[in-house]
Amino acid sequence: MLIEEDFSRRKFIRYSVIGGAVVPLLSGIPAENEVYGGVYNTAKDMENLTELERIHIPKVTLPPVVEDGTQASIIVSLDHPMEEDHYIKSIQILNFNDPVVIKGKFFMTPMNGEAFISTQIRLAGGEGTVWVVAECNKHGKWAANRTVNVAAGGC
Amino acid sequence: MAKNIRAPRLRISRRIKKDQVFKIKVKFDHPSFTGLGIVDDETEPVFNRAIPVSFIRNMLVYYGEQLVSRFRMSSAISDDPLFTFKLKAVQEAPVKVVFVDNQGKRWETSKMIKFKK
Repeated sequence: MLIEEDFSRRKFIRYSVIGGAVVPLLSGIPAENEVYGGVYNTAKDMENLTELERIHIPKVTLPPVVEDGTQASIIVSLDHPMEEDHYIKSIQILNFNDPVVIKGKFFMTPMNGEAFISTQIRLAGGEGTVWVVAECNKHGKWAANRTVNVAAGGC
Repeated sequence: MAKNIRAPRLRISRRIKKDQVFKIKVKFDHPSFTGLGIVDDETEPVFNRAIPVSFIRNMLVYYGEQLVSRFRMSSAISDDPLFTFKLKAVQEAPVKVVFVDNQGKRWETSKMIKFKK
């Protein structure tokens, strides 16, 4: 059987150009973000949160400037229900700029009534980003971050 | 940095109604430090293990007989931390908080939850 060859040099160049542009573009679009030990979701638009985002994005209270990096107060809360079949399993606090990245992971149950934790953490000097990852038993991991400037490092 | 370890203290409101979500504060004076030191302060900060690491590894919260929360921490939690978290008052029972440090030493504190009549 003779297969008619209609693949011209012009077509080859055209497909190469399109392929060369599309493949890197698609590979650069992350389906989901990745963080230490898992995949997480973030808010698409902080001004217009969807209902799912509103209940899952952690609310982080951390001062933008911390004088003493040995005692940085952090408060994390969520407006998420704490019911038997739908609740926040854990809240994790991280800072990738610090020598000790993971500060702590707080495991919760519906008995907590509200997803809330307040503590004090050590932060290294300079500018860094503190990440908080909350895990829902149904909807996976959700993250929020706060940029912080630490005057005197505490690690 | 706290030099001495002091037994943990638990603070709970006295006016708790059934099914109310209430706040619990636990203070534990424990010298938590990463043990890291900066090798050369003038150049890029490079850390090494300068002194032995010491920190609170776990905080376990029991309500009655049930384990309701477990907080796993690293050496990046501050000295003498004050933890605040919430519980739902479903029964009149003791709340017990157990701390375990990285050397396996244990401390605990508890308080009875009684509903306001």
